[in-house]
Parts: sequence; structure tokens; C-alpha cells
Amino acid sequence: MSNLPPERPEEPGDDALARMFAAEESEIRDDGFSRRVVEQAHDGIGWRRTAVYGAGMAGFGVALASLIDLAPHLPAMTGWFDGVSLSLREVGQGTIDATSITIAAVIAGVSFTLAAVFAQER
Amino acid sequence: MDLTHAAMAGDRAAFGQLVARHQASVRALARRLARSASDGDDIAQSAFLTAWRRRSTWRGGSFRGWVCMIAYREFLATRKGVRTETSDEDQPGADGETGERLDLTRAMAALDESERAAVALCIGAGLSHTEAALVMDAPLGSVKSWVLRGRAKLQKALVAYQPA
Repeated sequence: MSNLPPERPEEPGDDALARMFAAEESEIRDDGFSRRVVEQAHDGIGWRRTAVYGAGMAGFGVALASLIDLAPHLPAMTGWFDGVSLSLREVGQGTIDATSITIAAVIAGVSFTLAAVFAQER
Repeated sequence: MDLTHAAMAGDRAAFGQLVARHQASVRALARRLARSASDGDDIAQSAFLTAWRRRSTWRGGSFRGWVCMIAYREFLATRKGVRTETSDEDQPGADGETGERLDLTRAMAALDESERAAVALCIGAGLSHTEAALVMDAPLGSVKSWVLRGRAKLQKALVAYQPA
């Protein structure tokens, strides 16, 4: 009977590990992956995304216009918001030019849209 | 002009060739990080597309290393706030995984996240410790330590999986 310790399997060395990783990698077939990536690799701004953001901003504009319509009915408020409420009521009463407000809202909307699009592209 | 420079100058055909050349290593890295073939492929695809969009920021050097860095960051971004759910398809042993490959997948899954990332980058993707430290935005010493510990754990685990 032998006094030798039971034989232990040998730990895989660095080369063996690297070989196992390489074998795993070599089993990955392209299967259309490269084609899909290249198909989606476009230059410039994504027009679909722009349309989505644009629609969102158009909704924002409509909501803002509705707010202006509601202005005469807004309750008087105290504090800093009082000034905003007062301004809106003045818009509703025609004291402030509503066209200027609309133009400012459109410019703000377009700026926001462009900023969002470029932020997505970065 | 070599292929990488042509691709980075906006040549889509050259970019396609680069993707075809490096897709396996980037997908392998992403799969190991995500511990899921489907999530890994999504990350790899996203990394290549990000590389295309941001090609003006490429400052030379290895394209593969650069995409691996992007893939690692994409992985971190997708992982934020999302608990990884593995489907049956992604479990070890699915998709015809057998023998050695299954053992490696299981052993990798048992590593800590930092160890797994460091091992996947250095031993799997063949990046140097310095490159991996840049990719992981971690101190070089930590990366070396993660690789060392991860490799030791892998070696121990793979012995255990070997048939008696």
C-alpha cells in the first residue's frame, strides 16, 4: 500500500486559462452581428428622435397656450409665485403681448429640443 | 491609411470590417461582464455604435482596447439600478454549453464583480494591466490584485469542476 497522498488534479496555469478564454471566444460566430451594427451606424441627427422630441415640445407649447387661456381664472397667490400668477393674468387680459410669450415659448422649445438631441448624440 | 484610421475618418465599409474583426472579442468580454449572452451582445452592439458616433474622440492606439473600454462603460450604465435577471436561455449549460466552456462560465460567475471585470479584460480580452486600469478607472495596484485573486479563484474552481 502506498503512503503517497491522493493524486490531486493539476490547477490550470495561465496559458490554460488564456486558452480556455480563447476557445470560448472562437465559438462566437458573427451570425449577422456586424451587418446589424453597420446598418445602424449612421451619421447626423436621428430624424426619428428629432420628430419624437419635436412632438413632445409641440405638446408643451399647447399646454402653455392652454395655461395662458386659463390665466384669468387663476387664483391669486402669495409669495414669489404671486408675480407669475399676476403676469399670466395680465397676458389673459391683453396687458402683455401674448405673441411675444408664444415666440419665447417656441424658441425655448426649439432650444430644449436641440439640446436634448445633441445630449443624446454625445 | 490603415483600416482603423479609415473607419475613424468616417468610412463605413472600413468600420464594418473592423466590427467583423473584433466582434467576437468584444462580445465575449461583454457576455462575461453581463453574465448573459443576450445582454452581452446588446452591450457589444451599443459599444460599437457609440464608437462610430464618437469616432472623432478616438486618439489613436488600439481600436479593440478603445471599444472594450466603451463596452465596459456601457455595462456599468446598463447595470445601474437594474438588477440582472438571467433568463433560462442565459443560464450556464444553455445554448449547448458543455464541458470546459461551462466550467469557465460557472467559475467566472463565482468571482466578485471587480475580479470578473479585471480577469475578463486582462486574461480574456488580452489588455495590459495598465490598459485595464484605464478602462476600469481604477488604481493599477487594485487591478493587479483583482486579476491575481480572480485568477487564483478561477484555477481553484476549475480544478473542482474537473471530472474525478
